[in-house]
Amino acid sequence: MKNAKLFTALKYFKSNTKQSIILFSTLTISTSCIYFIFSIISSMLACTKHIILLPSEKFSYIETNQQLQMQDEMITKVKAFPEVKKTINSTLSGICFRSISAYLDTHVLTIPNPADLNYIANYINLELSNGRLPIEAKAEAVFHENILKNLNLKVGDLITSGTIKTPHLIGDYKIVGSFTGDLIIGIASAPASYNNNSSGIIVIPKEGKLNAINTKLKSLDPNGTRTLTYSREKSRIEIATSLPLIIFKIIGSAILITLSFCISAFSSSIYLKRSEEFGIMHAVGYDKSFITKLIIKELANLTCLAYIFGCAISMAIITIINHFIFSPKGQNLTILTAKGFLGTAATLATMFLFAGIPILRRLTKWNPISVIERRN
Amino acid sequence: MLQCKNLSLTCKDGEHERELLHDINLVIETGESVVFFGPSGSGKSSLMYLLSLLRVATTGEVYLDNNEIMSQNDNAKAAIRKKHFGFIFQQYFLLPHLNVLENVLVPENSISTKSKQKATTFLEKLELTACINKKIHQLSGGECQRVAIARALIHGPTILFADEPTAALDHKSALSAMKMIREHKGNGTLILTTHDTSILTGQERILKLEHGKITEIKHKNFVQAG
Repeated sequence: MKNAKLFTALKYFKSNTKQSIILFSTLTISTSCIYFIFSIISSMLACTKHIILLPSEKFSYIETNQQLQMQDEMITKVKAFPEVKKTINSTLSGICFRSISAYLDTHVLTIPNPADLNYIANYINLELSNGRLPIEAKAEAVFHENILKNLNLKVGDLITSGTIKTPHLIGDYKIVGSFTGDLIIGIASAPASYNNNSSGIIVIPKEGKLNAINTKLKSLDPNGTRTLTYSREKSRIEIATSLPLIIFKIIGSAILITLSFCISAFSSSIYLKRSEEFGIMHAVGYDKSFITKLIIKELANLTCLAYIFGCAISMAIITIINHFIFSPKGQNLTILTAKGFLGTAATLATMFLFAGIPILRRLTKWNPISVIERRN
Repeated sequence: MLQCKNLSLTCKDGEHERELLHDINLVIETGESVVFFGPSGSGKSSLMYLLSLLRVATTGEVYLDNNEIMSQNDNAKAAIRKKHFGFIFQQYFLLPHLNVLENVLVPENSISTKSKQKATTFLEKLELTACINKKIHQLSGGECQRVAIARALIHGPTILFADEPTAALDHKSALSAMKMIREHKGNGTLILTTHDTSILTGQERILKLEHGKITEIKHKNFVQAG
């Protein structure tokens, strides 16, 4: 208190409670909206990446174009690549997962050999949360628990092929378990009728050799094969998310620009009403740089407080929405996101500039005597 | 000592230029009380604003203790005002979001115990002890003017500028305000604008302004007789 200054950054707002509440609430609500928009976009991308891209970071897949049995010659050729750790006979199919942005095709790996099935389960760190792994020669499947939530299925149910959500599933399976883990996929044992005739192979690379193996697998394409690699899946993501992203970006930008202008206009009007106060301060000896710094400090403090409270409110809202709406469907909105924090900060900084520049420009031109003489 | 040489001020009035002050030459000694007297539009306030560096002259110089100050930059002028000048305005111009004590502390920008003590003592002398924590809108006109006097004098200015300080007050309050100004200005110079000679004591040098020129230099008795 000994050297405390009279004109502090929040002095005016502490004394003008009503005005401060209105300005602070507006800024905080806007911040919440901005963070929410960024969080939705981030969640959308994260969800899509999680479902589509993550499996291809663990392994690649190669299959015949016609979904016929994979030729032994081809399997031998792939096995001979020095970067390959293991190959597993498998048929890849998919089921629809309704993500935040779109329907995504999630992988279902049908693996006829139980030893291979156990191997892949260990390899992907599958942790059973309910039930058990599929047993040999039975049409059984385990799914990531988010898939079951998403499809409104549970352990013990039968998942049938050819429905609107399972157009690519190659058979009917009894769901015998659910698991947690990074990969949102399904793993099934082959039905008896399948007789070990897999249309493709899972290629597990040696450590750090994924890119090398993918390049080699891609070179096999002309020989009637189709590969599922990281780069191909990335292209899938881009196709799947491009349109929703553009729409989100347009809507988001429109909201952000409108909010920025409204907030800036609002705060500018408050500051312009205070020109008498600044005029008097200048008249009694405060130079313009002091007043400029005071205004910047005030705006910066308000913006920072609004940023903290706005983000916190938004995160609380996202948590509630997640808990009651998305989580029961196996979906997730990202609560803490770097893009959310950075994007919100950048938008607020823009608002800060929009609000501050006109005030400061006017201040440099303005003459305190005009305030005094107008009143006199 | 405050001095001005060949001070002129013109302003644009539509397409025409209007001369508000014409070639003013003036010396005000330290401790002197000077009154700019004249009808509305005579240029008395303009002259005060020029001398107090609130306004820039079209031509001419202003010297404070023989140092030219009119040509200084904006920040330097503000620093001179803060250090050497005190201001009392007709409309008080107190800051409404601050209380009485804080308004008095405006020139010092400090709420240290020492500053508060100093301001409180000053407010006691001006019989404003009961108002210390009140907001400006809770005060009467007379109280506002006394707060403005305290604000103008708290930092011990060498020159006190008072622009029609009693115009918004009734006669009794006006006399009381002027008494306080004289009592508390100490050895400082007082420069006052007014059109009401009844508040003057006869100790002031009166400069009559008409059409932007100093036409007479008189004392109170001459003005009243005239």
